[in-house]
Amino acid sequence: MDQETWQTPVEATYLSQARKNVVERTGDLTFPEVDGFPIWEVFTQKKKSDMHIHAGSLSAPDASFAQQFAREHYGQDQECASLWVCLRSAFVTDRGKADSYEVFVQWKSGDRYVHVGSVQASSGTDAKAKGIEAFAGKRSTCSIWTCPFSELTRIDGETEMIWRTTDQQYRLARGYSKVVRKKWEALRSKKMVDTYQEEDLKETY
Amino acid sequence: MVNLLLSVADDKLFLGHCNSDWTGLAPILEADIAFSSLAQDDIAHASALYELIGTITGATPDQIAFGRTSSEYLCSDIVTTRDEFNWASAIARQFFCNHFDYVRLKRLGDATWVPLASLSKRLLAEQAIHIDHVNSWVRHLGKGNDDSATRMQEALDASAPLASMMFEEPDGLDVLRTEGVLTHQDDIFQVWLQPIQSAVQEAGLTVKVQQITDGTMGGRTGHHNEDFTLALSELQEVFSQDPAATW
Repeated sequence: MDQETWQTPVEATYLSQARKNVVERTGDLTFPEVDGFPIWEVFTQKKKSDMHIHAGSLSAPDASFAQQFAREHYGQDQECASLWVCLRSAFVTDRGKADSYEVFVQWKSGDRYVHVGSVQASSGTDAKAKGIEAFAGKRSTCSIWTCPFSELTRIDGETEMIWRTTDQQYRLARGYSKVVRKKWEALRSKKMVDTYQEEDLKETY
Repeated sequence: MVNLLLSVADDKLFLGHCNSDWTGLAPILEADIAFSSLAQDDIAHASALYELIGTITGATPDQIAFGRTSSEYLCSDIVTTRDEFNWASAIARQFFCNHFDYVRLKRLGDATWVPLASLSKRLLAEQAIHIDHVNSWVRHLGKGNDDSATRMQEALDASAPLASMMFEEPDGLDVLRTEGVLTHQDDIFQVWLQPIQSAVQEAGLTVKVQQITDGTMGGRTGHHNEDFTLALSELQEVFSQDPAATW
């Protein structure tokens, strides 16, 4: 996709004036500066008693933006007690420094990485070996990530807001269940009536 | 009291409304999601405030949000400024408004009317994220490169006069102060200006906001400009055709 034009939206009768001002954009959809942003991995913890699970990744220019974006993008999917954000490059195993390493395991191919615990190690590679020993034992793993504790940005939902205090029901499926149910029941009943009428007509004619 | 609450709520309603225009159009994907999230927050705040107003006036939040005439809305016109889809303008507007909302909510948290104080404290926690976010952006654009710094500076300068208008007081505020419901006596302008200036300085830019003279009439007393009228008609489009509509 080299040339891409964004055209102003089709004007409908009721479309308000404000939308007429959208700028017509031509050219590449990607920008080199944005492509150059480093990638960060995000882990979310649903409840304080759960382990952190890999939620996904995002690109951001620096740690403060990475935090902000992680909160808005991943922290709002469901109630979130804590978020961990970490540069992808911190997971490369041959970096060396004695530190406490957090170990994340992907048990089977396609599973999400789950935080299993931490080990003291002298490098990423060392941490991986120690991690397998400490947490996997005989159980087979598909893949292991380790990350130095010092490289993790930890966002604690209690001290720094993630999940909001205002009513967030509209973000969740259960926020719609009663409303949708009522409509569905109304529709279903109507459908039953229609079917009955159809069959009724068949018999008469 | 109702006027005060309306001025806070209307600001947020329109800020959220205008910011949601950016959905799908922000410069980077994550910023888009974050910005929309913050716009949703603003609308949620407005909604909570309308409910509180409803306990005084008996109206439903929908009626209050959509059912008034232009001069009954008490938002400051900065929130409906057309940004012409210029990201720097949007950030400048966010910057001034979010900081103002923060300072305002903080002070309302000390009000003697308990429902207002407790609601304000709850909303303040979320407002804190908003200012973190917008400070990051101002800093980033200011320090980015010459192009971004120039645009950010221009946007700040262009929004400064409207920022002054945020400090116009809705009718009845004085009474609340003398009755002791509102407990802060210090100048809100100075309290607001300080973090604004430090954030701007950190970004390598300058900002100059004048204080308005007494008697200036603007949004807070129902006198609005064209941009507001446009935004209001868009907001009321559905409601004005069928106030009882549900979907």
